[in-house]
Amino acid sequence: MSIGKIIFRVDDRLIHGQVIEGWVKYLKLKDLVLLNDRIAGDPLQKMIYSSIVPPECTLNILNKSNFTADFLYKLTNKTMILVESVKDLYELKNILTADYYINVGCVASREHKIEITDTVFLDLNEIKMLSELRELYDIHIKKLPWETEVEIKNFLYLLEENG
Amino acid sequence: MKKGLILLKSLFFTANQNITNMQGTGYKYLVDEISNKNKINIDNETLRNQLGYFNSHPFMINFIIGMWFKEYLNKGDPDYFKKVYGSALAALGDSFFWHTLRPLSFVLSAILAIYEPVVGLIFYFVFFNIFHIFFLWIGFDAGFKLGKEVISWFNYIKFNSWSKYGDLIAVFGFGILLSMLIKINIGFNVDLLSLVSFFAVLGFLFAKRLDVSLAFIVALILLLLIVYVRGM
Repeated sequence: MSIGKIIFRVDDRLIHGQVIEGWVKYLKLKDLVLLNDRIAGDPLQKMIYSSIVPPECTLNILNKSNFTADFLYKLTNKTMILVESVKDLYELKNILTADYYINVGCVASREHKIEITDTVFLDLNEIKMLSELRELYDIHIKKLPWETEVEIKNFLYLLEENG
Repeated sequence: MKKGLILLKSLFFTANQNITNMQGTGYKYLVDEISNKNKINIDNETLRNQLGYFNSHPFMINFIIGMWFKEYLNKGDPDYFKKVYGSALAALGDSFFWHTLRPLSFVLSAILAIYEPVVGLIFYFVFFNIFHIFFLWIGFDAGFKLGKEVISWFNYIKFNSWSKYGDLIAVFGFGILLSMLIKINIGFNVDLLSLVSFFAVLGFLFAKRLDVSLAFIVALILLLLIVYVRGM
């Protein structure tokens, strides 16, 4: 299976088992980019994440501010870009285009969040941000590439229902 | 608390796994048990926070718990590194235990089971659990000794490469299994062995380009066509 596009994924666990086995190995991805200021600024955390990526895959860890459209042009279609939250994804909206595959994989359950799937729980603000992005691009909500995705069209109904 | 007791209690870590806090309940249970036995006073808020969302590989949990106690006692940032290591060790654990060790144990036990089914079953149980128990046994001490730098233990044993070598052994074992099944059921037949080896290689070549299961289906259809045209 191949998606044939650079993948943006929202996952609050960043790199974990599903990402490595379900996405990197299954889609034979060659590059992972992790956009996270706290990790980019800490050598120990950089070492931790570098140690868990399979040897055949490279990992770049960047500050969000260093991530530009120019950097994106250098990447191949075998790349996944990981962000920690819907807010982080929303902040990239000027960089995103319809040429990228946008995936929301895991946003953990917290108080006042609405269950979208068994791994994606969103609050109203996150739903608003995703609805806005949804107007421009397809957004695929699923934790693994072979799963059936959850349609995002009824988000406005959720917003109305939850006030 | 003794190592053996920590190991035993860590076997209950996933007992209340659920989609809301995943393994959070099990994590708090372990923190509770270990702090009580070792008379470590943990403030109520920190303890309550352990009920929050947590998800990692169950065989790696003792490394995280050990690291957490070390960071807590050193007034570090235990909850932040719990999250970091929860994800990181889940990646390592899933790759090795679920995607390498399980098929490897299956192939090796299937080879043994051709001759003695009970031995095959026992072998699977023992072989898989040697690794499982070893990681639970050593985890707390390694985590407590190294704290947030516990990843260096995994780097020291080159754990990230174990999956690659394990997969190679599993594929080799699969070839042996296939050859033995042919030899036992049909007898030594160079033509058939060559044909099967050819399709196994073809399947792996396809698998590098295509989805593995699709490659397997293509190889099976080609084999059926050749057997149909040539006869067995």
